[in-house]
Amino acid sequence: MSRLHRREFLGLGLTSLAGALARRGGRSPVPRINGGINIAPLRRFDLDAGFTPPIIVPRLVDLQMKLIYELGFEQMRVTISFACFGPNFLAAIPYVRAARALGIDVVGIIDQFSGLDLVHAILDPATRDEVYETYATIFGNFVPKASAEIVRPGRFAVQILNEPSFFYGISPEAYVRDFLRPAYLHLKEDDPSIQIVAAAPVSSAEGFLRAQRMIEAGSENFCDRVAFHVYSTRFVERLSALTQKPVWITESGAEGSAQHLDWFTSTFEEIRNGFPLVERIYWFDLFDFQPNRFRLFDIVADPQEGFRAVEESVDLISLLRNRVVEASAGTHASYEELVPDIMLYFPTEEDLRIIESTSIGLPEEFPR
Amino acid sequence: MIRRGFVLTLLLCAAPIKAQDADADYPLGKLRLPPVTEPAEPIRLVDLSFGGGKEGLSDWSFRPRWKLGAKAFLGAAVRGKQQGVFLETQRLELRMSQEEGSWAFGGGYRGSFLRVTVDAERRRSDSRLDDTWIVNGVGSLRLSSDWELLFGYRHDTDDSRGAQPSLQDFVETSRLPSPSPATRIIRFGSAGFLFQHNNDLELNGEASVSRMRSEAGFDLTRARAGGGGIWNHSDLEIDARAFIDRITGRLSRSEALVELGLAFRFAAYFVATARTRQEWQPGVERFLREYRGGVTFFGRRFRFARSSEFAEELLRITRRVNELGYNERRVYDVAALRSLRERLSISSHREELARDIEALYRAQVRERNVPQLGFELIVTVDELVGSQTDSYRMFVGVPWRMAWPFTRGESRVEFIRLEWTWHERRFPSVIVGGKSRAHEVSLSIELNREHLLQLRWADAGQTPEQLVYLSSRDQRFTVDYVYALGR
Repeated sequence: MSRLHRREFLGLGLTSLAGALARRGGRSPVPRINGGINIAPLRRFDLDAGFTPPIIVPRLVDLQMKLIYELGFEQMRVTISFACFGPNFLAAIPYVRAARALGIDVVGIIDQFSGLDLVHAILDPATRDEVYETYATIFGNFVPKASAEIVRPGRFAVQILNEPSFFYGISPEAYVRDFLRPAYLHLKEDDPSIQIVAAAPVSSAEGFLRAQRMIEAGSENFCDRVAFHVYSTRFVERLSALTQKPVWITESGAEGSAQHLDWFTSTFEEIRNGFPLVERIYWFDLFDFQPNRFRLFDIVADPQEGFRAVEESVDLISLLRNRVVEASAGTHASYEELVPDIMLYFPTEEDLRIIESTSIGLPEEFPR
Repeated sequence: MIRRGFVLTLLLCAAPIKAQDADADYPLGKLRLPPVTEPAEPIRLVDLSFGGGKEGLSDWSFRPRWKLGAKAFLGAAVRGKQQGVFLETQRLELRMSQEEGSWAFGGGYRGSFLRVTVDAERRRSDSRLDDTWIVNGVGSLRLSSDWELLFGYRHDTDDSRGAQPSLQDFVETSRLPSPSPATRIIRFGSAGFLFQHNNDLELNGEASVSRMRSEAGFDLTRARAGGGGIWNHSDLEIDARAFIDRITGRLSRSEALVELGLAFRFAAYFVATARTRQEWQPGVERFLREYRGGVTFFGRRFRFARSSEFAEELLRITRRVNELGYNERRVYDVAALRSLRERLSISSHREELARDIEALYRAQVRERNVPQLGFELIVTVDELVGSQTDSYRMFVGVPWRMAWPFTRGESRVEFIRLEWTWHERRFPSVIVGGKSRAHEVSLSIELNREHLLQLRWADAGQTPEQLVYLSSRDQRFTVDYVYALGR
C-alpha cells in the first residue's frame, strides 16, 4: 500500500471543532421526542476492507446521523468496537460526537464485533485501566453543541459488553466480578459523573435466568443503570420484579416491518406500564443488513449521492415523522444547517495521540 | 515427614495377617478372608493409598489407616497441602485437618437411637472472612429398624455482605477490592425421615429452610420440600427424587428438580439403564436437562444389590445389631458395607457378631458383579451456560482368569478395565462458540479385591470461558494405588 498521509487516510477533521460550531445558531432543532435507537457504526459497506482508504466514508456517517436527527430520537446506542483501537473503534468517533453535538444522549457499548482482544485487554490489570481511560477520554470528553438552540450536548454513558453469556460464553457471575466491577471503578475514577450501564442478557427465558443471576451476583452495586433486552413481553413482569435500579431497555423491536408500528406504540406502552423503573427504550435498529426484520431503513449505494436510505418500516417512520412535525409545528433547523460538514466530528490528531500513548498503540497497519 | 510416614506404613503393611482361606481366585492368588473381627496386635494396617500426578502437589495424596487393638481405627490423610488425622470407634468419630491455615474439626456420636455428627471449619486467618466458622450438623433418631427421623443444621458465622464498592478506596490504593463471597447458605435447618422396607423399598423425605446471603449482599430465604425413593423387584430397579424450592426475598422464585432412573436386567447378564434429570423454574424454563441411557454386559450373572443374597444377610445383621443398640442403617455399596462391617468388628459384641459379619462378607464376594462391556450416552443441556454436552462412556473389562470380554463364567472376578469417556460440548456463544472436546481415559487393574492400581488421563478441553480467561488447557495424568483390607 502506498504511504499516505494519515490525515488523508482517515479524513481527519481539519477545522477547529469548537470554533466552527460557535458561529452557528438560528432555528430550533428537531425536538428529541422519539426515544432511543440502536445504530450500526458503519464505516464502509465492504466490512472487510481493513485499512483500505478511506477508513470511514463520510457520507455513510452523515446519512445515518441525518436519519436519527430528523426522526427526533432522543438517545442513540452504538457499539464502540475495540479491536486494538482499529478502524471500527475510530469509526464510532464521528457517530458519537455528532450525536452528542445534536443533543442526543449516547450509550457506547465497550465491546468488540469479533475476536477476544477486548476481553483479554480488560481482564489484564496491566492494560485494563488505559483501555477504559482511552474510551472515557475520546468519547466522554466535552463536545460543543451543534447550535446555540440545542439545550445541552448529549451525555455519554457506557455499557460494559453486550449479552456477555451469549457472545462470550461467560457466566453471569464472572461477568459481574471480572468485567462490570473493575469497569465501574476504573471509569468512575476517571469521571465520577459517567453513567455505567450493566450488560443486558439476551431476551429469552435463559436471558431472564441470567439476569436473575447477575442481580444476585451484585450487578446493581456496580452500575448506574440495569439493562434488559425485550423482544417478547413474556418476561416483562418478572424482569420488573428483579431490580430496584433505574432500567434502560437497550434493545427492543419486533421482527417484520409490518409489526413495527404496533410494537412501538402498544408494546412500548405496555413495557412502560408494567415496568415503572424503565427510563429509556431503544428501538432495534436503524439499519442492518437483514431485510424485513428489525431495521427501519435499508441503505443502498447510489452512484449519484453515494448512499441513499430506503424506507422499509414505512408506518413506523411515518409515525415518528408526524410526531416530530406536531411537536415542532412544522419548522425546525435542517440537519445540514447543524452539521454542514460531518468531518468536523471525525477522529482528530489528539485522538490518535491518546491511542498512541497507550501500550497498545495504533494498529501496525495504520499509516505512519 | 511424608517420607517418614511412608517408610513406617510399609513396615506396618508387612506385618503378618492371620487369615482364613476364602474361595475367590485373583492374579495375586487366592485371597484369604480378612481378619476383620479379630483384634489387631497391637495395630494392623487396613488402608493405604497413594496418589500422584505430574501437574502439581494437589495431585499427590497419601492415606494410611490402622486398626488399633479391638476398639478403634486411626487414620491420616495428606492430599496436596491438606493434612488430617481421624479416629473412629463404634460409637465415636473424631477428625481434624488443616490446609494453609484453615482448620476443620469434626466429631460424631452413634448412640442406640440417636446419631449426631458435627463438623466445624474455621476459615483461614488471612482470608477476607477472617476468623469465621462454618458449622454443619446432621443427626438421626432411630424409631425402629426401618424408620429414622433425620435432622440437619448449618451455621455460618460470617455475616459480611457484599455492598457498593468504595470508589474513594480504589482511588487511593488503585487496587480492586476483593470480590464479595459467592452466594452462600448462612443458616440451614432441616427435618426428614428415612424408611427402609426390607431391601426392596426405601423412601425418604425432607423439609428444610435456608437463609442465603447473596453475593450482592441481600438475603434470600429458601424453603425446600422433597423426597425420593428406590424400589427394587428382581429384574427391575427404579429410583426417583424430587424437590421444590420456594425462594423469597429480593429475587423471589420457585425452582424444581426431578430425577428418575431405572435399571432393567435382561438375559441374566445384561442391564439396561435410563435416567433423566430436569431442573427448572416453574413458569420460566427448564434450565438443566440431562438424559442418560446405556447397556452393560456382565461376565457373571447380574444381581441387583437389593435383591441378592447378601442383602438378606445385611437385613438380618442390621436388624440384629439395632436390637443390640448399634444403630446401623442398611447400605448397599461396597465402601459403606465395608465401614459397616468394620464398625461392628470393634463393637463389644464383635465375637457374637463375627459369624454374621463373615457371612455378609462372603455373600458380598460371592455375588460381586463383573462388568465387562458397557456403553452409555449422556446428553446434558445447560441453558444458563448455553451449552449442550453429549458424553459417550464406554468400557471394556478383562476378567480374571483371563477371558474375552464378551464371554461369561460364574467364577470370574474383575481384573482389568479400560474406560473411555468422550464429552463433546457445543456452545452457541457467537464470538467464541463452537465445540469443545474433552476426554477421560482410565485403566484400572484389580490385583485382587484389596489391591487396586488405577491410571487416569484427562483432557478437559477448553470452554469459551477458558478462552476468554486465557486459561491453559487442563490435561492431567494421575496414578493411584489403593490397598483396602476387606474391601
